[in-house]
Amino acid sequence: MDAARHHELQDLLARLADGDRAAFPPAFTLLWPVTRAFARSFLREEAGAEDAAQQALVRVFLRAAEFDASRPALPWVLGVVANECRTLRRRRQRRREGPLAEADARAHPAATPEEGAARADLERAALRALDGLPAADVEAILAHIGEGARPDLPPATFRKRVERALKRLRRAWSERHGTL
Amino acid sequence: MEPSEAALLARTRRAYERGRLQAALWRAVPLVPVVAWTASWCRYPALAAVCGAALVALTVALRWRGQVWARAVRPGLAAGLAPLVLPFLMREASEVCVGEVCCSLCLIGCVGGGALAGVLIGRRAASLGEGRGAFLAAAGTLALLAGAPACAFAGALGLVGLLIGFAGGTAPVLLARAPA
Repeated sequence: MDAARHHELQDLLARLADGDRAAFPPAFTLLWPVTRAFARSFLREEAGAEDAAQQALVRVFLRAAEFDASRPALPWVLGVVANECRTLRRRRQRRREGPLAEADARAHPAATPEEGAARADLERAALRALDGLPAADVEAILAHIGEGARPDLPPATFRKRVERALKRLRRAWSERHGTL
Repeated sequence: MEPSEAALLARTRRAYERGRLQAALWRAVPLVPVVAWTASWCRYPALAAVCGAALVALTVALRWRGQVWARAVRPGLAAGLAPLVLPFLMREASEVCVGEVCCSLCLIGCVGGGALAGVLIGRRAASLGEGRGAFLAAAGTLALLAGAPACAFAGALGLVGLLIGFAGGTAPVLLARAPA
């Protein structure tokens, strides 16, 4: 914004604070591009920035009566806009976190009869796949998922055995079901 | 102008008016205890309540309207202290007699307070280039509403005295400063 526009903005906001309604249309014309550009650079997302700019501009005019004409207008406007953008960003973050928290709080996937049946099918398929593997591999996989006792082996050897067992299990699953 | 921009213009306009009204309401809050205090000692509490409510409502309306109307609020309220305080202090005093003509000190306080308010407002109005009539009407009404509950101690004559005092105080100042 050049010096002339800066001066014009100062004059228009001072008139608005005084209650001169004639200053409203030119103030809107001058402030809307400034607010939009600032919101875009602040939020860095086109759609969200447009909403934020609109709300910020509404906030600027809501507080226009409080504007102190002895202070510079542009920093005051940008302060209001930045504050509004920050508030919107926080609100959106909370909204995004909300559904995740709800999902965490949801009951176990097997809560409904359909989910329970699907889970049982998967378990049966996994057991059938395990059934064809050597006993040492089954023991290693069950210990790995916490369903069986860990064999008395050094950690590196156990890791290697689990790796081999999972590789065979993947192959067995692919042979039976085609995908993994 | 695009439709969305026109809608935003209307929205910001409403926000501006709402902001002005909110600011005006907040600034009128300190008047409420003064009005309550006035009603507590006024001879006619109903009159004090009506005048007080009108004073608060007019203050809010003038501040919301802005420009010369809003600039009249502070001088009007300050000038209104004279007809409020003088009769209040003189309400218990006895009559003053000059020859055979006797007059209550309270009534003299009303006329004197009204005259003082008139001079203060008249001087301020005379210094204005534009909007002198609006300033005089707004500030004068506020001063008279502020002084009326105290002048009610002297009855209807007190209220008439307040009006006469105000007109007597304003007219000479305005006439003396009227542009040739």
